[in-house]
Amino acid sequence: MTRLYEQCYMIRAFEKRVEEEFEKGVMRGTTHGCIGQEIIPVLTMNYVEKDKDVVTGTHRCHGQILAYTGDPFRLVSEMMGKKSGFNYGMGGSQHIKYENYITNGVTGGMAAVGAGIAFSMKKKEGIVISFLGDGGFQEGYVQETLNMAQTFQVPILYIMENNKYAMSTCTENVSSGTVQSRVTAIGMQYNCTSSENIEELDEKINKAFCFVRTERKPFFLEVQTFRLCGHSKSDEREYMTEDEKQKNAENDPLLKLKRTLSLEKIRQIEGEIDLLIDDVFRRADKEQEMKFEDYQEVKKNADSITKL
Amino acid sequence: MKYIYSLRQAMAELVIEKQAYILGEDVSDPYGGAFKVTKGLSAKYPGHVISTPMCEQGITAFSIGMALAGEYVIEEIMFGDFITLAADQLINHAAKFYDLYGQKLHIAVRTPSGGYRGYGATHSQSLEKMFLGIPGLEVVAANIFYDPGRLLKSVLKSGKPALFIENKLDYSKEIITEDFDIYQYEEIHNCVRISIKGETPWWSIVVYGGISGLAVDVSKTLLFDEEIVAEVIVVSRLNDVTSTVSAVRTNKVLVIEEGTKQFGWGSQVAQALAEEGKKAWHTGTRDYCIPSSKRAEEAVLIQKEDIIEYILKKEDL
Repeated sequence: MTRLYEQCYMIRAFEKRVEEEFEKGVMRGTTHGCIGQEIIPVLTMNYVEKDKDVVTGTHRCHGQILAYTGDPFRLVSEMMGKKSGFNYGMGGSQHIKYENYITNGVTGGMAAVGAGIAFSMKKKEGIVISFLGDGGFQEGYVQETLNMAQTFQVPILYIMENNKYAMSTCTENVSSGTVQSRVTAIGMQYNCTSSENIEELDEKINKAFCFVRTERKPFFLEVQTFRLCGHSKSDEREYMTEDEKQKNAENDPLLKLKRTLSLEKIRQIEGEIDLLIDDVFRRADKEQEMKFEDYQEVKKNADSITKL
Repeated sequence: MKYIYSLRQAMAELVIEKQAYILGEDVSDPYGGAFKVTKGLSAKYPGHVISTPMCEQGITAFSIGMALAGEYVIEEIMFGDFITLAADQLINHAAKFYDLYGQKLHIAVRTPSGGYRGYGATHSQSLEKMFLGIPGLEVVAANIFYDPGRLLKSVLKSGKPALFIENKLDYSKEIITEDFDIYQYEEIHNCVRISIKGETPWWSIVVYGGISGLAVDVSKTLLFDEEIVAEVIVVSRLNDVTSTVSAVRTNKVLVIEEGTKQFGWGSQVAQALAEEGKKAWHTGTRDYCIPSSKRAEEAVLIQKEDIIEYILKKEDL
């Protein structure tokens, strides 16, 4: 549990710091925080075999990329537009490709692309892990490629981070049936769990990975979760009631992890990570900004680091 | 060789050389695609020709994913009109993976554009102009003056995602392999210049795709009936305006396109030519939905007579 708390707290501290930097006006652009949802990418990445598997992400990708790389320095560099970022500052908060992790800023788009990557995986060893949200799930091409993934029997594991809101719109109010009914209607294997029960979540993620690795078929795991922050930097969550926010805060998976640790241990972990985050933000700030002149070089370098 | 056979043969070669995949609605035998371009390929190369459900957005996403994993992918969209459905995946995904992440994608999305067949408003358009001006996305149009299969292979091998425009009327035509000047630009061929032997032109007609043959017809009529000598520049890479402009040798240029005249490829090329100090005009199809009725369709789509009339009007300017 110590390691798990370290990983989750690092993401939390990173996201909190990003919020502060935006408030100070230091960071540009937009950002989509994953405060409250950290446990999902952290547990998922534990089962990813980096040399074989491909992971596709979402716009809400900081937790995913931090869990995948453990490298907050390159992420903050990327967000600050520095050459030391994962994509030399070209992509920013939501356009990141590093090794076999790739994401993009269009909701649902990468889940659709993921199915095609998985088709190619049929003749290789790895599998595709494809994150998506309850918002992106509504996109036409996501529904279309779920069907194609199932029809062509490709090895893909969909992890749905269902935080119940597509930006400010409660997904339940704008969709009919359930995620389960839609997924199982096409015959795809499905399971559901929540980020509140960490042991059950871990076990179901493990089982889902096992299924896709051994059966070489699609699996859809829906994880009920919640955001403890806004959709993006300018969102105060006015669409949630105070009761709901309160209830979510009480069910914060990090609080549950914390309860398993001694106060001393917590202080030590948080102290070290706070220092680390402070350090990477300071260092990134001093890095060289990507200039237009670097565009061609960036493309050339990016090509040479391409592994996917 | 016929245009359709050249394309089919190129795809077969890509399957053999690069283990390419061909995806699209109805592409497998016995149907072999709505225009029969892939006919016979699924029997010869089992597992490499994949008939998909009817969902262009999904097929395009799926194909791009395959290309991202290193496959060579040829996707067919049944009618050029349906490429609007592929737009998000081509513009916000494929083009960004190429330009933002420096990721090579060996993918060509083939689709037939064009009218003159009475297919009506949603099966006759030339919508490729909507995909121009997107960094990271190549828009290529085949024609009967340059081997379309060779063009397809070079496009696919370049690693830059491409929309590959074919033309319904061209499938059954023979490729015309006379001794034309060929311009080479980067790894993908761009222009063919067609001029009348022994004559020095003072007009240039710049054109792409299905109406290239029409433009050559126009140049013959101009010579025999009006004693006007015009060269024809047939362009393949539509977004490469620079090399298109550099291929033009005369000072009077008419750029024509089958797509609607307003906000077209032609206006961009004509403007670039004007910046070079040339007298440049452009024309195209009238701004109406394309009617099914033969006479009304003829009135809306650009015709040989329209082009001749346009040039005669400008001849003394």
